[in-house]
Amino acid sequence: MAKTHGRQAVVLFDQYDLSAWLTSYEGADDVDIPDTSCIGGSTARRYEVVGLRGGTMSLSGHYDPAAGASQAVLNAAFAQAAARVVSAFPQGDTIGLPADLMSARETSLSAGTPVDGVASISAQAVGDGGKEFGVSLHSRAAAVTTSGDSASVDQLAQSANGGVGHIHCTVAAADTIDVDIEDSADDETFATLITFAQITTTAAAERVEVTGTVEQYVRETHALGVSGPYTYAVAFARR
Amino acid sequence: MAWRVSPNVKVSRKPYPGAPRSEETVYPPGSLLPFEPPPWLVASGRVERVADAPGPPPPAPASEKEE
Repeated sequence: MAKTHGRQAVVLFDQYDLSAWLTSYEGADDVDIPDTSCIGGSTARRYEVVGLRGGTMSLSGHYDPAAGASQAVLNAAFAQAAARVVSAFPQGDTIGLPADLMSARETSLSAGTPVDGVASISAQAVGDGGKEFGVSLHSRAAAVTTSGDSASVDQLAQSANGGVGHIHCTVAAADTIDVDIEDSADDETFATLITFAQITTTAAAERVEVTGTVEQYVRETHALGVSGPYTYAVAFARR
Repeated sequence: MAWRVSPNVKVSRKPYPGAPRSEETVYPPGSLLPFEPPPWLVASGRVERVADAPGPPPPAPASEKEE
């Protein structure tokens, strides 16, 4: 059993890497279990019907109003109708490590300035449904300068309910990059599963959902116009 | 019969199991596959079956002998 230190976590909020400002990330899921008790029974019954799933992500850390930093990013996202693309990697974003994926709207934001401490900020985002439990398919740790594909991740079995992919490009270049997610049943022949919109000169994030069968192996692949460099992370979750 | 990669899909294939990624062959959308795709790929609908290229036209029927 491998234990994990919280300092390894990576939190990507749209095209911003907030890891450098955050001191805590907490993801929570919940599900509604309605009361199905009826006359004649002697105990409360709740186990017959599983209701709606939901989820939240709570972020807290250091206050920084600079462009692309914690306060600027979280303030811009607060109370916006458009959902944000949020991915959290509790053990880091090395390929194959777990990822929490959420399409989320920020519903609370607070900042504090203690006299004897560092100014802080915290926010909570509520998801469209619960978090999706996935894996990292590409790390933002190294900029990409050549076209190619990443190592595949063996997810042990085919699944039938589609999935969702996230891309967070935090540093763009004067070039183009096309990123796909591919799947395979045999780790030899791969085919496109998800195609993200082409990223050009502006950092961007996107969430793409697919339905149907997802084969056992998944990986990220990318094609550069010239040589980038682009810094980005990709995560994928089955349903 | 031949198989063609569907629009918006790219197929990559390793020449042998465990081959490095640099040795993969990429087949872009619309290209014909020079190999029989695995059943899972056919079932996914990401390749399309197409008729083989037409061969040379059949010879013209011999003209009837004029009387």
